[in-house]
Amino acid sequence: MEFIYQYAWLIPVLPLAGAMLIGMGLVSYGKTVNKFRQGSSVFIVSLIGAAMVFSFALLWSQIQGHPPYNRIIEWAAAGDFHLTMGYTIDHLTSLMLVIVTTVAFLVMIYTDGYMAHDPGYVRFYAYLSLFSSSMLGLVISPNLVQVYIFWELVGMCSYLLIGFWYDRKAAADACQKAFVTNRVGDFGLLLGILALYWATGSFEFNEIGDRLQELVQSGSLSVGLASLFAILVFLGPVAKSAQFPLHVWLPDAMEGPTPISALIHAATMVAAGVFLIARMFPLFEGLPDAMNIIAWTGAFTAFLGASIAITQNDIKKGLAYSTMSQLGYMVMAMGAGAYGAGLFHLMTHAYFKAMLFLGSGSVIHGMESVVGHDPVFAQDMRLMGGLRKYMPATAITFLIGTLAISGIPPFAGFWSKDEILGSTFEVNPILWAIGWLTAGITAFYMFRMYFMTFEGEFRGKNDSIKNQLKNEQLQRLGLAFGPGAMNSKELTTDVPELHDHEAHEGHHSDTPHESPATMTLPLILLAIPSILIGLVGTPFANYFEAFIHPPGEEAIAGFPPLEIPAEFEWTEFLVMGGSSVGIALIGITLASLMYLSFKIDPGAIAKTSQPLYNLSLNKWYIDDIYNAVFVKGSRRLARQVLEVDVRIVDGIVNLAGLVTLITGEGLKYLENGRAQFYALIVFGAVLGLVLISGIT
Amino acid sequence: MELQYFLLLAAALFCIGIYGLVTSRNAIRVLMSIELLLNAVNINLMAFSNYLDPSGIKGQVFTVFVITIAAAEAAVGLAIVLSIYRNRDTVDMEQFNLLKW
Amino acid sequence: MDFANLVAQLNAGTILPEGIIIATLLLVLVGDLIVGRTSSRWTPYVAIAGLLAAVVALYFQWNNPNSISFLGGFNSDSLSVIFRVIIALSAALTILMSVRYVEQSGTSLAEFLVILLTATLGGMFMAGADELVMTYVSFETLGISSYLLTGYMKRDPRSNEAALKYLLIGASSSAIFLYGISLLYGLSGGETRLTAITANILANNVDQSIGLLIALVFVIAGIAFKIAAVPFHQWTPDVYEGSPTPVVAFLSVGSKSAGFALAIRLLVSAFPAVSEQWHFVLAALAILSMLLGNVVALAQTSMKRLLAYSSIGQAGFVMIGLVLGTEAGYASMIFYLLIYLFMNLGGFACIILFTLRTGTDEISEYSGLYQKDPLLTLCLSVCLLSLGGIPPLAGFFGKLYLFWAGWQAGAYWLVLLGLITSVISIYYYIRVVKMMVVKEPEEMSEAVKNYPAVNWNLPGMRPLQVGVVFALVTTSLAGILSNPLFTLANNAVLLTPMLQPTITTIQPAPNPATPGYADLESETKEAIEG
Repeated sequence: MEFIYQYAWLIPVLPLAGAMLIGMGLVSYGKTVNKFRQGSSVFIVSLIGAAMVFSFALLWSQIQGHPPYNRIIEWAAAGDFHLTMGYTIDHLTSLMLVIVTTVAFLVMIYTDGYMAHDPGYVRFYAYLSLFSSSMLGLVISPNLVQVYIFWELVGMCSYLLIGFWYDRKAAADACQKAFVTNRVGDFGLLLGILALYWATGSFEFNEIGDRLQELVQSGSLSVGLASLFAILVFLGPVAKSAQFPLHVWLPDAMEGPTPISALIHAATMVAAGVFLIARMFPLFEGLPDAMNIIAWTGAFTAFLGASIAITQNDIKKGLAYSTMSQLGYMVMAMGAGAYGAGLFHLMTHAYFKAMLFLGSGSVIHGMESVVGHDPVFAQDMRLMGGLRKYMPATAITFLIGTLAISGIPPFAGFWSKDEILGSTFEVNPILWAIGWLTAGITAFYMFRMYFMTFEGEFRGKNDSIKNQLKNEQLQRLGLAFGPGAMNSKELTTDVPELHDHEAHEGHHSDTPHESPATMTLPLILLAIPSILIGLVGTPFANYFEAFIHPPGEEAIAGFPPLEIPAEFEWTEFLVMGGSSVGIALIGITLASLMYLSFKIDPGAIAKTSQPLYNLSLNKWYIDDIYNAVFVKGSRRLARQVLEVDVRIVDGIVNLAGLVTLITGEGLKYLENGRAQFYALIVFGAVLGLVLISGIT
Repeated sequence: MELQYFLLLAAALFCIGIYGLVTSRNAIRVLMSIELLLNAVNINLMAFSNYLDPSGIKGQVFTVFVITIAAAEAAVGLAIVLSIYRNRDTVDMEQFNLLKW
Repeated sequence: MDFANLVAQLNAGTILPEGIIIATLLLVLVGDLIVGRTSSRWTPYVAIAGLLAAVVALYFQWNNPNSISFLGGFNSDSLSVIFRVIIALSAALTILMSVRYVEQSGTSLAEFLVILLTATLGGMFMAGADELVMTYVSFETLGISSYLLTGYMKRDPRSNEAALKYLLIGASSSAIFLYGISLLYGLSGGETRLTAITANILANNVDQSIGLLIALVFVIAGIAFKIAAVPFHQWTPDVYEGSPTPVVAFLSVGSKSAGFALAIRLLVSAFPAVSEQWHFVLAALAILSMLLGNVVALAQTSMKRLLAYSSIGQAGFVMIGLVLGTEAGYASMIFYLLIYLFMNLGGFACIILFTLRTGTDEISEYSGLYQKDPLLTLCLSVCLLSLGGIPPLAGFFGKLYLFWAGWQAGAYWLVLLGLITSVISIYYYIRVVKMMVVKEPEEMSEAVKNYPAVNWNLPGMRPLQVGVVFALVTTSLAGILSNPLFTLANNAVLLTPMLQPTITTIQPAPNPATPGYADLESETKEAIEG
């Protein structure tokens, strides 16, 4: 088995090679490569498939009890300063490798169907492959420097992919928003890394944790400062995993193609934040303040996301907020010290959320054949309904995903969410209450989504709704750009144009159709882990917890790996599990009353609790607040600072620049082009140097 | 005769060479001044060789090398002056300032 | 039998690489005489093959225990080996980029190659010269061939003028250098081998005389001319502007590296008695070079002049490593030169390409180039940014090691100045990049508007393309994969016995294993303190 460890570096390198090859091909022989659509996609998919097989082999070997493997090469050295690169394969890594490669593999298969008619098909595969490579690189990184490099790389891929349809204005804006928001977090992370290096002199995960503990215990570093460093590091995950207050980019990121939303913004990259917290667990563990902040951030994000998701009508946006909410759960679990539970939820969530997103993509794909390629129509749930008749495979898998995320046993989400709630209860009942309530809301909005999309009558031909949607969109645009900024006729004529463009696909049908097999197959394949994967982590036989535990804990507790706790408190489990299932069922019932049988009119509720409804619909006004405070405020501040700046700071900077330039300009004329003058300078300089060095 | 006298002679010759190099307007005279510089060094080397190293006479060998190289340098220098004269019709150093600043 | 005996006695195997180059040179010369002008189809490749064969031969010289040859005239230690590799490689890359250039100017390629190979030979001998006569002869071999190369475009008055200026300044500098050497010969009581000079100077008790100081400054003047350090730099911009661009490329890398090799060997082995003074003088030159080179570069409008000043500034950075006198200092200096070889030659290759296609080298003419020739823009941008020290390109790591070594050795002011001036340097490098990339199509310069279609099939274009792409790849990757190169540079210093005692003089530590050195060292120490 040893050789698979020696060649484990191939896992990120394989997709990278694929991306490079296709990328080089696109750059130099764009037209030819674009013709080999199928060829290049098969090539890339088979590379990631190979990486997946490799990852499974590694996971199997780790389960068999292979010791963690480290391979380090010296990357750069100057004096005492050493930077090392390499990879490390331990339990956590092998698990993450499997998650990333399987989801990436299935998403890539799905992409073939989804992007079949897009002119950027090959480019898209190259990006996907590049992203997979960076993500895999991040997972196997042995130290913080390497993590940071890959962290930036996955971020870069994410911007590239959000802005994939760069000619759509919304996509370009979303891309920019993601960039700016992530910059804030990354800057914190970088500061944190540098501060930790300053304090501990190391970039290695375990060493940092151990040395920091020592420093704190010996009193040479105050606890407050150590917590500050930890929180700076935590800022990275806050941005990447869309935690409050840096969550605003994730919903907008849904402007990217749906496979991207599934792979990057649901299953893998956004989970990188949770992964980093897990990696840095030895650091956070000893700092209760930092842990509390993490837990509360997570809990608040979970609730915030869920409350916003209730009123979303765009199917992808709804899922995006639910992703945010679920990530909040994971972070909360990490903060509460439930290391295994958080990662367990990461795994289950990766599968069912990827499936939900792919399902939504399938729905959109089906809708597009009816309403055209305008995202305003194709993604709005008010135009859907009754799709179960037309797309049975998508509907069933979507239902499975919905059940999983709502926490209905025995689906995957139940076990992981239950474990998180259980362990949070032990730490802080208030956190548990928030999580519990959120679970109910989650069940409600997920079933609202399911009912609106797949049950009832098909509303895709209803022109009045269409007009209403169009007006809403124009209003939003008008608000954003002011009257006259965009000619409304342009937008309306947009649609027929698209029709012509997509004419080869066949004329618009009256009914949506089921997606091709390349799209439904991944859905079905993802449904299997969504149902079953939770069973590895049941409280009465928790194989997962035994496999994934915080570094160093086994030494303290003395558990040999894979030992199942002997006594098991059934009552506690039943109470906890029962209560969370109970609230989920309440949510589902409410949703079915409102959106399936229409016993309760949701509009009436919205009216009676107008402020709450608006709060949720407008995403708690956070975007507006940011706009007012940061964008406008910073502009105002900038104007005032500019005054000072122009006069003093700029003056100094300009002066320095000017002095340099003038000196350069002046000294230039010493070069007067006469050789004998040069010779004179040479002799003079010799004389001068003799005198100076003779005197000193 | 003492060694110092030779060294002083060489130094004086060197300074004359520098003076000629810096002040001459004719390119050929500049090249000649360079020969002067090299010959000043030759005197130095010969003197040292005679007074300090009479058995090894490395200085004299060195002088032969310097003379050879001076000849090569003069040849290349004259060739360059020749081609510049063909292009510009002048060997006046003041005129050669196409390249500056 | 006698010949073999002689060869063994002289240890002539150490100059096998130079021998290969001489054979190549003759082959090119005779081949051209026999075949005529059509020889230009194969001569450049023969020359490159010869240079690469020389590099291979140098590989086998690495860590040669019996390095001293020709009765002490030539030393083939690891330090000289690595410098000879740099010089030979720079010549090979220069040939790649000169084929088309010479072809287009209508002059004979074979003669150009012969002179270039002679210059290379001079540089390589200079890197290993261990004796005064040898030093001077190789110094002039390099010098005189460079004058010829500079004036190679004999119909162009600018090239003529550059050659004349170079010749005059070069000849005066070499005369000064020679004067210094003759004083050294006298002070050491008639000794010409560098290793013996120090001992004799100390034995003659002239180690604090003004004569030695004059000799030191005069010698430094000669070296500073070769490496274009301020204030011995004034020929640089004029010569760079006037001479054929491939020649400039060679001068800025090959000739300069040879100068650095000479500086290390001469100063370390012949002037330990005045080591404080030479460190002081060199530090002054380094400071002046960094300041003046980078500041005046801001005001340039011609690309070649810009690179001339930038190369002065770069020489200043490299001199930091020389001034430190520590093992890390020498190693980082060699490392920087290795990287500088690729990035600077890459930059020149791009300029040559641009000049060939448009016939100008004004910076303003580069605007909007991105639209017409992305590959050229990419390569030039990468090379310039690397020269400016932008991560993660090679130049960044080069500067990082230099400054790191400087910081470790306590040369804080030097490092600080280096940092400030490298920030200034980024400004003018970026200016060019911005000019090429950011400009809108409307703002395109005339030259770019009339840019010919990219055609690599013209005779001599393929080698240029190879050169450009090679430089691009190495410049982008050599930084990230810098460890092998750095290990190489480190080993070159560690395996050179000459550099070891001086390192211990800087940080005195008695070494009982080598009593000879210890004696010498204590004497040196007394001499310095006394």
